[in-house]
Amino acid sequence: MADRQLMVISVMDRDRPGIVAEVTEGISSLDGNLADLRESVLCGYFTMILVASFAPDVSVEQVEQTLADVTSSRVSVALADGPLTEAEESEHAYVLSAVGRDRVGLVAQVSRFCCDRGVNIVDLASHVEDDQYTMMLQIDLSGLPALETFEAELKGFGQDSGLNLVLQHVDIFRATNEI
Amino acid sequence: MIRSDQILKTVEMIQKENLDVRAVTMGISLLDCRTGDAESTARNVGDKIKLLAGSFVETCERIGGKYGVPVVNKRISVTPISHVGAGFSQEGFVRLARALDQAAAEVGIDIIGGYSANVEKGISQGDMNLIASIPEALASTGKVCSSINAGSTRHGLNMDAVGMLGKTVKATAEASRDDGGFGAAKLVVFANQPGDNPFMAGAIHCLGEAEAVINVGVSGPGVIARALERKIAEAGAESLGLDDLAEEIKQATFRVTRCGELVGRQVAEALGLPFGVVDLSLAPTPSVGDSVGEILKILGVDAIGAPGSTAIVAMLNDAVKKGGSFASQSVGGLSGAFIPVMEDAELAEAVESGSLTLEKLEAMTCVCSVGLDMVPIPGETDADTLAAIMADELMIGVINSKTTAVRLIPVPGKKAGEFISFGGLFGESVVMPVRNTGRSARFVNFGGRIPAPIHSLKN
Repeated sequence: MADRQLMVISVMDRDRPGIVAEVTEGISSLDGNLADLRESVLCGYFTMILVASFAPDVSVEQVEQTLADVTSSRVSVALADGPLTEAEESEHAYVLSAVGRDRVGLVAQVSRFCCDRGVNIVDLASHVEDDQYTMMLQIDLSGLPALETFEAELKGFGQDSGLNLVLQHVDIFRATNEI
Repeated sequence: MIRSDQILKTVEMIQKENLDVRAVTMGISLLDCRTGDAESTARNVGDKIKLLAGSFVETCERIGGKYGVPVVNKRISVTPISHVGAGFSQEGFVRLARALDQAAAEVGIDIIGGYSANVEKGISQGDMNLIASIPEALASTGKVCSSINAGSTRHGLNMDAVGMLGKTVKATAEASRDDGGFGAAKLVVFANQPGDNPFMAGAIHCLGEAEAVINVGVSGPGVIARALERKIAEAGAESLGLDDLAEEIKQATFRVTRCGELVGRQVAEALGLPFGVVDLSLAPTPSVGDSVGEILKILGVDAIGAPGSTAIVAMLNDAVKKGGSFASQSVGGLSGAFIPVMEDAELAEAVESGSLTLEKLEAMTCVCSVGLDMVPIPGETDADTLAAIMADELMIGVINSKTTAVRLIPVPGKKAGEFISFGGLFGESVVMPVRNTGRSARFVNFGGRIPAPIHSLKN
C-alpha cells in the first residue's frame, strides 16, 4: 500500500438519497481505498470531502471520468499534496464565539481579524435566530506571541464591530459536554 | 471536534443563565503557626496566609478568564482557630481574628472562614474563650467568618453549647447594631459540620486535611431554572412527569459541576496544591434569575411555602446530587440545595408575602442543605428562643445523619415585617416573624446533652 497515491475528492449537490453510495461505489470500482471522509448537509445542500488511495497507475482524469459516469453530482478530484496529516489537538485550542445583529460581512470581518494575526480557523459554524447571527470559530492560538495582546485586540475589535465576542479555551466545552 | 450546538449551549449557560463558579476556597492549615503567645502566633498566621495565597486571587482570575467562567468569590478557610489559639485569652483570640482579617485583605480575597470550634460533645477552655470572643471578633473585622459545630450524629447535641450560642448570636448582632446586626450573618452554628466545605460562613480547613488544598463550590440555580423552562416549553407541561424534570435537573447539574471541577483543578495545578472537593450545592444569589425559589415555582407551586414545597425541594436536592456526583471525581462539602432567605430574591419575596413561614422553612431543610440560613428575625427575640430554634434545626441533622446549620440574624431594633438589607451577595429581606417566643426557656436551661441517636430501628 506504501506506493499508492492519495487523492482528495469533493462532492457537492442538492441533498438526495444515494450520493454517498454512488461516489464510494465508483471509487471501489477503481480499487480505491477510503482513508477519511466527512459529509455535511447545509440548508438542503450536500457536500462531502474524502481522501482515498489508488494504485499508482490510476490517474486523476480516470477517477473523474469514472465518477462522472456513476453520479450526477458535481465532483472534483485532486492529487494530495504530500502525506496525510492528522490535525493534532493543540494546547492552545480556543473557541471564539461572536454574536451580533445579522448583516453583510460579519464572517468576513471576524475571519480577517483572525487572519491578520496569523490565527488559523480550524472549524467554523454559524446560527441565525431572531436577527441574531452567532458564529462559533474553533481557532488555534499556538502561533501567537502573547495571548494577552490578542485578548486586548479582540476587546477593541468587539467594540468597533458591535459584536459580542467571547474567547474560551476548548476544554470548557469538553468538560460540559463530554462524559 | 466540539459541535456548534454544544458550544452554543455552554456559551448561553455562562452569558444568559448566570453560570459561574460560586467559590474557589483555599484551605490552609495553621497548626504550625502556634507559638506561646497570641502576638507572635498572629504574626505567623498572617505570614503563612500571605505565603500560600499571595497569587491565589490572580490565579483564579486568570483561569476563570481562560474558560470564560467567572469565579465569583475567592475565599480562604483555615484550621479551626480554637486549635490554634487554645490557651489564649479572649483578647488573644480577637488578636488572631484581626490577623486573619488583615491577611485576607492583603491577599485580596473576599472572605475568610475558620474562626471556629467543635463543641459537639464538650467545651474546652479554649473553645469557651473563642466563643466568648465572637461578638467582638466579628464586629471588629470585615472578612472573618465564624462557625461552631454543636452536635453530631455520633455524639448527639451539646445543649450547654447551644444555650450559650443563643446568647452569642444575640450579642454578635447587638455588637454590630450599626450595620443591622450584620455580624450575625458571619456566624453559623452546625450539626455534622463538614471539614472541607468551601461555602461561607461555615468553611473550615479541618484536622485531617492536607497542608493546603483547593475546594470549589459550584453555583447554577439560573442554569437549572432555564433548562427546566426550556424543557417544559419544548415538550409541553402536560406531557412531562416529575421524573422527566428530575432528569433535566440532573443533566444541567452535570454541566455545572463539570465546569466548577475544571476551573478548580486548574487553579490547584497552577498553585501546585492538591485539589480537594467540588461542593455540589445549588447556591442562589440575590440576582434575578439566580434563585432556588424560582425553581420551586417552575416545578409547580404558585407560592413558595405552599404544600408541595418540601417534596419539590427533596426532588431537586436529590437530582442535583445525582447529576453532580457523576460529573465530579471528588465530591464533598455540603452538597445540596441552599435555601438562604436573604440571599434568594424569590424566597425573600415569599417571606414578605407571608407564604413562607419559619416552620415551613424548617420542614424544607429536612430534605436539603443547609438549614435555617440567612434568616432575619426580630431583634427582640430572646436568647433562649434563639437557642431552641437552633436545637430544633440541629437535631434534624443529628437524627438524619446530615448537615444542618442555623444562621439567624436577630436584627437589632427591627420588628417582623420591617426591611433589612446587607447588600451584595448577603442580600435583603423583610424580617421574618417568630411565633411562640419566650416559651422554651425551661427546655434550654436543662442544658446537658441530647444523646446520640440509635442507628437501627429507622423510622
